[in-house]
Amino acid sequence: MKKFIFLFPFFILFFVSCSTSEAPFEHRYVINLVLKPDMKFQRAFVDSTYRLDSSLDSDLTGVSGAEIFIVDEHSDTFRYSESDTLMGLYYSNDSFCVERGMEYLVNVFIEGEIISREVQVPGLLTIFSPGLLDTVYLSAPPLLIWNTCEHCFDNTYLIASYITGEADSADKYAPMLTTDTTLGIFFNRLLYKEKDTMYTISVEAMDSNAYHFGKMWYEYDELKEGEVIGLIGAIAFDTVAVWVRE
Amino acid sequence: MMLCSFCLIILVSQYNVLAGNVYDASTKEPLPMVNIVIVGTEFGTVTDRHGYYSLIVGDTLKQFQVRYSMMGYGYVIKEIKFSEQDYLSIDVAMKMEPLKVQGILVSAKKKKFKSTAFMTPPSLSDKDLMMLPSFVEGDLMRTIETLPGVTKSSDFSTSVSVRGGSPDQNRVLIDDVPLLNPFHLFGLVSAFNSNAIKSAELYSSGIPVRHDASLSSVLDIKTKGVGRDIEGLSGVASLSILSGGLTMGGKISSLNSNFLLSVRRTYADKLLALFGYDLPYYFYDGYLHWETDINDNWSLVLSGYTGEDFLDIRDEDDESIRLIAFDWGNKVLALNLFHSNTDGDLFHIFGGYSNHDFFLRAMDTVFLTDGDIHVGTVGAEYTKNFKRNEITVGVEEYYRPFEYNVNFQMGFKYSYEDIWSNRISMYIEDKFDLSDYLILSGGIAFTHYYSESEEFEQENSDFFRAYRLSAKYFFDDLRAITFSFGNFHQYIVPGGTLINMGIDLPIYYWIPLGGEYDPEEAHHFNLGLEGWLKEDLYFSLEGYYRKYNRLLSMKDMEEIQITTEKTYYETMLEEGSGKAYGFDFLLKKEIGNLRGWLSYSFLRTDVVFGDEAYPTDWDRNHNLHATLLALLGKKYEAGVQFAFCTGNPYTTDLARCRYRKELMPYGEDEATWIELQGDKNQVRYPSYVRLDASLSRSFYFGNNELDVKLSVYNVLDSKNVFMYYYDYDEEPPIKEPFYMLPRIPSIEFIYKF
Repeated sequence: MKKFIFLFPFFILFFVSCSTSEAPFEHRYVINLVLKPDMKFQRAFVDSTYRLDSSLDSDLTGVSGAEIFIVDEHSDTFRYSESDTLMGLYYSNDSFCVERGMEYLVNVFIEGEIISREVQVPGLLTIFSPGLLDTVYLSAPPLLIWNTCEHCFDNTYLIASYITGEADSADKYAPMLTTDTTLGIFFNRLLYKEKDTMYTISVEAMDSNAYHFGKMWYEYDELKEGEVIGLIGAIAFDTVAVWVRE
Repeated sequence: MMLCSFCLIILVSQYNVLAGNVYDASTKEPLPMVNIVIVGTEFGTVTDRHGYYSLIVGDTLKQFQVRYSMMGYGYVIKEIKFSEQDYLSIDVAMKMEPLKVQGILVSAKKKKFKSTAFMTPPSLSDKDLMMLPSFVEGDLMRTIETLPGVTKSSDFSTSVSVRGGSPDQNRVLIDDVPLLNPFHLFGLVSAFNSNAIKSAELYSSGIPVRHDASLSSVLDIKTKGVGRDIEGLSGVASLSILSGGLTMGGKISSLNSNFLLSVRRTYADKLLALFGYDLPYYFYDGYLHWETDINDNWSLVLSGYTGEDFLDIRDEDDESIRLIAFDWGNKVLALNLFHSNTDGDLFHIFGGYSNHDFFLRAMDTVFLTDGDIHVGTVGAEYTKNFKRNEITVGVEEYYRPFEYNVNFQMGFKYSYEDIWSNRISMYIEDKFDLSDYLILSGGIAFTHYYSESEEFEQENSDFFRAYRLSAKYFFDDLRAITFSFGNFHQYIVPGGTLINMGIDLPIYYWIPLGGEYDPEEAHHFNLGLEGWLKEDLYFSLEGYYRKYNRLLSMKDMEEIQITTEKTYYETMLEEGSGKAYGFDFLLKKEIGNLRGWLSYSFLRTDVVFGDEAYPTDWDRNHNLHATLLALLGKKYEAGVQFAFCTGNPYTTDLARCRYRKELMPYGEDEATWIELQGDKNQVRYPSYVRLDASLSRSFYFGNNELDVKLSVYNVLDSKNVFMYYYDYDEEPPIKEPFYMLPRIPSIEFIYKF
């Protein structure tokens, strides 16, 4: 027994040295294609995963040579064109207009692979209050009111706000989810520090894909067997610009 | 007792009576079984369990010497002189002398070894806690990690895993009342003030059937009582770089009672405020322990605990804006009533209340979580001793109303305000000495679990049965083989928004199980060998297999339906299963100048949720802990603690891609790199190594003592990896480690009076 005890440290050293090695690299395609009603051009990005240990020029990422087709409920097919200026960017021409409430089939052909997704575009979404360019006061904020949107997945809306014209400011104003169509508490003293400024408020309704992708912004980071990464989905939205004052 | 002495004096008036109390000079605790002999004679007595003694001598013997001795303590000789009076009260303080053999410790452990049918649970005493190296200050939970079967996921948390179970599956009892999330400082230190703890036992096998509320283990903590028969106040004042504390106790003769009161608070916020700095955090905790001997048979113990953490970060420009307000804590009040008789029968009635509150508010109204769990406990237990049987029957009830509110800015909210559960258990256990070589023990508990929520339109009423069986076969007086198995249930599980958000802090909220959620269930099988290699060298080796039939875990946020509170509750938990197996080895030298323990644990875990099978975060396969405590003369004590473990598993990044985040719904976006993760927990961090050391010196001032203890946590400054992240300032990105705690020196002052 005593001899056995003294063998323990060597036993441990042996096993601790048997640590599992790093997992291998996984290649996947990364597609971002969100159908939005009322947009003149629909955009898509086609990219892939890259090794963490190899050097890359970020501006030269993207996958060219992909074919993107959208098929609507009437079996009409629309094709995206590849951008000459930005690798991996594809866009639709003006003959394709995304209609609210319609179902589409998205087909992407890349290097012999076919990726297909069905997408249900949410219905009409309109903000009723406040009105465009209304002045709103932090001390007495008005209700934000919009309509119930058909085909809005889980009846959940994503609300965001940012300083009008400053895309970067959107990061500072964490988007919120709600299942109501009114917002009781809206203006937060901390978030709306810059007074006498024009803010844009947006309300989004999402299809199932966009909902699951956008709800916590994390689904992107898990590699699942055989799955394409990214988002092929649809949203409907409305925005309103207001003056925010103390 | 004093009354008895006076009666004795009346009855034996032709004699003189010498009586008094004997106690430990350092801890002021009473010393039982102290030998008291009149020098030069064979006449003498021993102290009782309260440290009390009385010695009757003939009235012709007026002047003599009495020798007080006990193994492990230096002897004391007192000059006794009776003049006119026939009664003398002499209290004696005895100092521990390490050179002497502390045989009584071994005797107590052997007694437990011989009288139980299961593996003797590893335990820690208050002296172990005092002597071991500290992290900032002595911490029970950081010491527990040195015991076999205990693993951790990081240094940043004092929560532990026992034999592969998750940290929430350990039931922590303080004087028999459950305590939830017993941690301060976001889990960095535990909620237990070492000065108020008498002992802690960790049951990972042979868990009695009355504990059927956790899947993994029971940590049974007893608060300290002080010298029951010592007049005056005694106590400990302590100061560390983290907190200051005061522990006081004493006897109230008129009430035949003694008490202990202990308080502790961090002081950095107050100290920094003197220099104009603002530290928006502090915690405090306090214990109360009150014991009363109602008569020779009945005694009463009242225990209380309160602890709270506060974090209040305000906006620099406008202090009326609270950026983060976060507080959480526990309150416990327990009343225990004991009745014992000379046959060793024990009747125990208990009642208690505990409350765990949790409040988190971010940026005024952006995010708010506010919750309370109340637990009301009542029960009774009776243990009857027969010739070879010891039968225990009991009933206990736990009533738990929950309140839980989460509000996001702009109206999205969910709450469980009206959900409550009630669990009532009846149990019977029999310990049967089949022969001198074999002890069997079995128990069965019938539990009725009821949960209700009007808002969720749910009402559940279910019966569950728990059973335990254990056996111990003695090869001889010093060695035995043990076997135990049983099933276990757990009725509340951790959850809440912090877990949703991927934040791994041991201050999670708790969710009552109801509706479609059945309680979690596990089975344990244990086979072990324990005994003594030498008179003072204890060992245990136990293998185990645990099957988790039903585990419940919080889903990722994107998988939860948030349409209503009801759908949220109904879709928030995912059911899974799992297993854990391994063996634990302990070698412990409990007496002598050099003592300590060596523990080794081999562990494998595997859980399955959905189509994913993976080892748990705390799955450290090999765990070696060595602890040495050295008594260096009468004034110095040294402690060393060494840990060498397999690295924890983690989920590795397999690739990276450009994440295109839309800033506005009509097209503006920006692309950043993100990493893409592979299968969960399939690779491991490098091995974990840590060495801690401490040295303390005692200064004596009459009967008072000042201990100055220097500790260094992570002496070698080992770079143990907590996580990896990628630095994209370089191309390709550099994988950078974020390390666990570095070398941290600390000093503690402990004044005993």
